[in-house]
Amino acid sequence: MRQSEENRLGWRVVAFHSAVLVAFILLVARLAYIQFLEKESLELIADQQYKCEVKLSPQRGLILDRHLRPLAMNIPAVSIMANTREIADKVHTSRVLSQILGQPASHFLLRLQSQSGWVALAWNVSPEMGARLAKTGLPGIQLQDSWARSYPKGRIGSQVLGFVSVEGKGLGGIEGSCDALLRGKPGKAIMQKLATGKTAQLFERPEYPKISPIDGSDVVLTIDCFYQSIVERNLQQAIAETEADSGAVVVMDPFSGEILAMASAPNYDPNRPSDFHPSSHRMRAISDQYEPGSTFKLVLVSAALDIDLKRPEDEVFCENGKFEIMNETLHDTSPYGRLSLADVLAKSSNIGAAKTALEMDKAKFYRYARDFGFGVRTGVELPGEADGVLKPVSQWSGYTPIAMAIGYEIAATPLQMCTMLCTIANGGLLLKPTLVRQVRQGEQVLSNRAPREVVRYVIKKHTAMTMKDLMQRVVEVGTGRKAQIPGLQVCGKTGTSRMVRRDGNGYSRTNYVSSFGGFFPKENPKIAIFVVIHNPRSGFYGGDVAAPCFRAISEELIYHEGSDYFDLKKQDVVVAENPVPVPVPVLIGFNRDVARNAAIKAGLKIKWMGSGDIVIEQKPDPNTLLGLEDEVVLWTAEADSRIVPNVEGLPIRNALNLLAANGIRAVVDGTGKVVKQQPFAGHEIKSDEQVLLRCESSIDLKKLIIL
Amino acid sequence: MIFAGRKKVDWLLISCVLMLLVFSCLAVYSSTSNSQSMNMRENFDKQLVWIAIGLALATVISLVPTRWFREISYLGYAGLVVSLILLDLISGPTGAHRWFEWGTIKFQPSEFMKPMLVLTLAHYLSDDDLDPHQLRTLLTVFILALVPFALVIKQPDLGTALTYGVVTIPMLYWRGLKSLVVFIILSPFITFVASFNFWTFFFVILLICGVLILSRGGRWMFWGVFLINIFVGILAPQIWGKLHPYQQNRILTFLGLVSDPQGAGYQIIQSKVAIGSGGWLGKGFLHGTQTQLRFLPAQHTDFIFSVLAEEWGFFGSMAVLTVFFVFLMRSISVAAATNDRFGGLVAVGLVSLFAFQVVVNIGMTVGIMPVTGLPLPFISYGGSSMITSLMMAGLLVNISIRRFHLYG
Repeated sequence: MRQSEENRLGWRVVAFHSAVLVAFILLVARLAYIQFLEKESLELIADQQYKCEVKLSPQRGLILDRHLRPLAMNIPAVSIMANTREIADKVHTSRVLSQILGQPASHFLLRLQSQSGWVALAWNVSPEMGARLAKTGLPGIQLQDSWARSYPKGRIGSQVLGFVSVEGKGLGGIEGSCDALLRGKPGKAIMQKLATGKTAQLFERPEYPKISPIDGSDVVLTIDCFYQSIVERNLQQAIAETEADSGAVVVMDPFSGEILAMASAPNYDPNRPSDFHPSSHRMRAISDQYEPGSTFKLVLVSAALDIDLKRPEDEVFCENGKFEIMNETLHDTSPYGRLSLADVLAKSSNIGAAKTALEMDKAKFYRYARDFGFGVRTGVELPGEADGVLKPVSQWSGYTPIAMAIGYEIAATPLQMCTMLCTIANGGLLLKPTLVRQVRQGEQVLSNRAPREVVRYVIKKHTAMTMKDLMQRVVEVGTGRKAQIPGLQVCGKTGTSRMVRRDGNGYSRTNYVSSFGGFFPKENPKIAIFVVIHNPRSGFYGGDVAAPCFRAISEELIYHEGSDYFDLKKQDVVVAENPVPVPVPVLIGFNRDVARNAAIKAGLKIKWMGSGDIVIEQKPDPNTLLGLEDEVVLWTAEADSRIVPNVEGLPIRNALNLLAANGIRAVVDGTGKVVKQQPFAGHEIKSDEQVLLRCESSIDLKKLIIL
Repeated sequence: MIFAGRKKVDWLLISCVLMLLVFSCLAVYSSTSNSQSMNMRENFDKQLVWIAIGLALATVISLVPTRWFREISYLGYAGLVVSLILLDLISGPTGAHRWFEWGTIKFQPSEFMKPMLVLTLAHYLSDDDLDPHQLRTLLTVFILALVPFALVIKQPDLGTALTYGVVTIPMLYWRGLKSLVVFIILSPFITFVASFNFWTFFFVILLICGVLILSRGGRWMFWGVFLINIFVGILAPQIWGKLHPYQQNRILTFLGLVSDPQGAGYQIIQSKVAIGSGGWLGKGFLHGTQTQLRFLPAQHTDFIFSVLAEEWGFFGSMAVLTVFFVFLMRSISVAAATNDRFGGLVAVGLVSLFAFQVVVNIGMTVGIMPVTGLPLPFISYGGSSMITSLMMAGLLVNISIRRFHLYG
């Protein structure tokens, strides 16, 4: 019995061992099958569920003014997406979104309910809002870091700059025309996503290749944003004072063709373009052609002198103010008898001009108009330029030469008018107007524009000299007296033209376009300015409406840019009497010239320390009150040094200027004043490194916007 | 025997358990440290605490006299049955409870029921005068198992409930029940499972007939068993087919067989992807994408084996299987080597429990067993499971130490 039980137990042990063995052989076989035979198909499933191709966006290139001050830059922002499948309580979610983002809850609710899957809720909101939203821990909401285009100067230069769509495409202005340069090349990376579908928690794996994005190139404009702000302010003021509809101003360097400022009113804020009427997005200086009126007499007189048809002193009988020809009646503003050609221009006699035109060969008149650039686009680097209108001789009626002599039956853009002025100012060369000075990639200059691009020789140098004399008379004794600037020889010409009636039936008797074009100083002109004001309601003569605006702009330019263009003596500059203590302006971060001008404007003297171009330190600190003629000490550094300057305590804009001037890029976190910088001042930095600026709001921001 | 033991403490058994605990730490750390929830990340520390408690208890258990367990078994069984009933009573209509909670401590009686049932059955079956072929014996054993089975399946926790049933047959067999009787008892279950496909059903019936004819058990027994099996085989699919899909679903859900919120087979596919993408050597510790990207469901509990297979590859999973294999084989040898019938029965019961859980759990991760929610002993995260497993290991060590002591 004992023996048999032992025996049976032995069998049982074998049975147990065998059962376990068989079970384990099955498991191992199955394991091997999965790990070796099914491996490939299972890995495919794995790849499909983790792999996620992510586009790496390049940073859009900056747009800088001629002194490398940023006009368009990128600031960190957050875009908000939602996965509607993960959001159970859509009403609550949209209410919370509304509280944080400020838009009505219904706006979000509509988007959350409209489709399933991923929807975009908001583009490019501030990182602070993003952080607040993240803190709520709402399910299904995802934040995506992005770069928002920011225009630190606000409305200044808005139409020159254009703006960028939420998708990052440049629309209008330089953003549009140089989009290919600015955009850069996107990269891509293959990343992995979590089972929950969250893409924010992506992590890279080394075996997946990553193509880094190539940042866009920076575009340096010929625009001086300082000039631009002066021009815009004065244009706005002129339009407000004359109750006009719109206006445009072009400021050019006559010897290089560089556009120093170009303004169009009404303007808009490119940071929020959709808040403004689309017509305000238009750069009227190039898109709006108009009949130039008397300013076009410059072309006629230039032609007459250049072909030796007339001399300035040759007289014309001006019919005492009323001249009937070809069933039309010409009027002058006051009746004149015999006027020399010089006086025809100075007093802007229509009759005198018409008679001169009738004496001239039609083909020659046409050729000079053509040579001065009329009827053809200038080719400036902006989209939407108008051709202007210049009819070929074959389409001329008998009256056309008379009409053209006084600036009708021809249309031009303000920019074309300004290039015409430059041609006279520089001694007869038509230059191509340009806005883009340089293209850079970080510190590296990719391309420089030629010093100037000559389109053609238009008039003899001698003719141009004579024209300058005649134009000086216009300002000194003629219709442009309101453009006089004490101590300066200004050349100019007024223009007043009737607008075509709305119904297209002849010309309006009440709606005018007033313009004034001029340049100074007479010898070696530095600046040419063309001002046009559409439909002013108080006053309409170009000499009354546009000339004062020309003068105001000119005075401010001279006064601010003393060093850049003129060796004006102190007494030429009208410094406002200022008996009260003056606050010291923020000068850190500006270049030498700008800082000097700002100090002079405030009535302060400067003591320079160091030989560099960028102000890195000032004593006393900004907003300290000083008496007139007190001294501010400014320390400067070389623009190409890569030592991180101290920007703590500076307003963002100055900090960015200072860093940009040092060739350092910065990442801004927050708004207002820089409270912390990383790395610290004095630290040496590589060209691809960035400085992180942590900022907090304070009231000081406002002060800076004025500058 | 290939696994001949030494006379004192069975170090092989103990080192197997310790190695499994090392695997557990690696896998639990890997599958919880990546989580965003703080609770989840604390799980690793908790697991260490469970292991410490379990090891302490196991040490105590391995050192006390074996007969003590025999003496407390009926009382302990009664106590756990009462606690299961209590648990059933406090369960509201909405949520079933599997455990008692005191603050942070959870006590899952169904886990502790596993070794207690083994002790109870061993106590009952170790009686010298008992004849395992008596109907009374069989009924008593099945009723002892059925009570906790019924209570746990109500929770519902099919996996754990099945383990209660699973220990009965091996223990009866060990006690001397004839193979034929074992076969006859099992045959309706086999037929039931096979009945959903005609050909498997056909072959199973053929097999049963063959065995019955070869065993020469008599005409009455042949026809009786044959008809019962035919009956089960025909009726089961019929009844199942008559049910509405939602009723089928309800039954499956009740049995805990459908816990698949993300669509058919999602968990199994993810587990297979994890194992399959591991390859020879695996993706490395903390580098398993299925695990770290959280595609693998229940990765620190039910599917912990897939974590190991993904991160340590075929070699890693083979290592785990080998250690389990050695552990089980060794435990069977322990059962065989003891002169103490009670000890032998306990060892066999425990081996059956471990083997069942290991095969079902790993079988589930490789897609050859249904998803039942059984943890992998010594490895899965979970306090009750870990402590119970270690206590059971302590019992095995206890029996191995005393294997040559005379009964009493």
